[in-house]
Amino acid sequence: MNRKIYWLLGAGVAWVAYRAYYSYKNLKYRFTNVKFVKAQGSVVTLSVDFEIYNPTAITLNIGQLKAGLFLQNTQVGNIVYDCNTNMMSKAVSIYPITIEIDTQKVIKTSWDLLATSTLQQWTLTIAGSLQVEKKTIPVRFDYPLSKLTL
Amino acid sequence: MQADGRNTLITRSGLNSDLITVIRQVFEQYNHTAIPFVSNLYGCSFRSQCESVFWFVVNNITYKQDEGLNQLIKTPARLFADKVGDCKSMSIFIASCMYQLGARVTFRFVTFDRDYNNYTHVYCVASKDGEEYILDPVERVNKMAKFDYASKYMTKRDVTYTK
Repeated sequence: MNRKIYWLLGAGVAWVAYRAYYSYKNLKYRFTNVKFVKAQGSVVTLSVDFEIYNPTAITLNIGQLKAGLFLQNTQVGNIVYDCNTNMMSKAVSIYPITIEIDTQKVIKTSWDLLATSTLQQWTLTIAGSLQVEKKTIPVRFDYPLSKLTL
Repeated sequence: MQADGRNTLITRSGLNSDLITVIRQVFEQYNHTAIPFVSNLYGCSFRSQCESVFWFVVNNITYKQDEGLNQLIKTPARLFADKVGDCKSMSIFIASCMYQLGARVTFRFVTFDRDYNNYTHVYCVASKDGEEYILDPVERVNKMAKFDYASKYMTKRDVTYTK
């Protein structure tokens, strides 16, 4: 009986250790350094740093970042970015990504929102997935446009 | 574009992370100044573009480590004018050239000890259409520069730019 409990305990500890050190799901990411680049016609260009950190004990292959760009839940663009890198343990990768917001599209689809609020009160959302090994992990970033300095 | 020879003080007491930020700023702002250096390389194969830029730096720029706490980060034009620089300035020069040639460039900040946040060296990695080359003109093997080679490091911080 005792032996069975030890086996179960050992398996539990091994599972926790595996999840902590060897699971791709522990990959950390963040979006930082949002900057205004330019406004040309109805298109506003921003740049944002997509930063990935590999805290696991294994090397992970990072593939494509595929995400939608949303303003107040209205899709205003897409991000498809190939990271294509092998990240060793404890390594950090930063990808400065340029994003374009078609404001004409926002105005067309969110006319009522514009009537009741200003662009500064809106939130920019990047939502999608990042390919890690052969799986994907969800990616999400909410950024209040009031924080943006021109 | 010619260097104007001005020195700009960014901060009096900078951290390692400040250096990375400044290297990025200098690259983003001045990578276009590398166009004259690569104008004769358009149309060459990617490997020969990488080799040309690498050997150009090895043969024309003398490596000199920044003295004490004064860290100089030079634009491509300034490095070419001075003919002297360290790994930071050399990697900005090489990355600017390769970026202007349409490559995806990565600044690789590396540590050689277990102090994960203390990056002591930087070099450029250029890639295009599945080909990737390490461009570290500071590295020496038997006192000779070596194309597509870098020492083993403990950990790295990559900053990647795609045109």
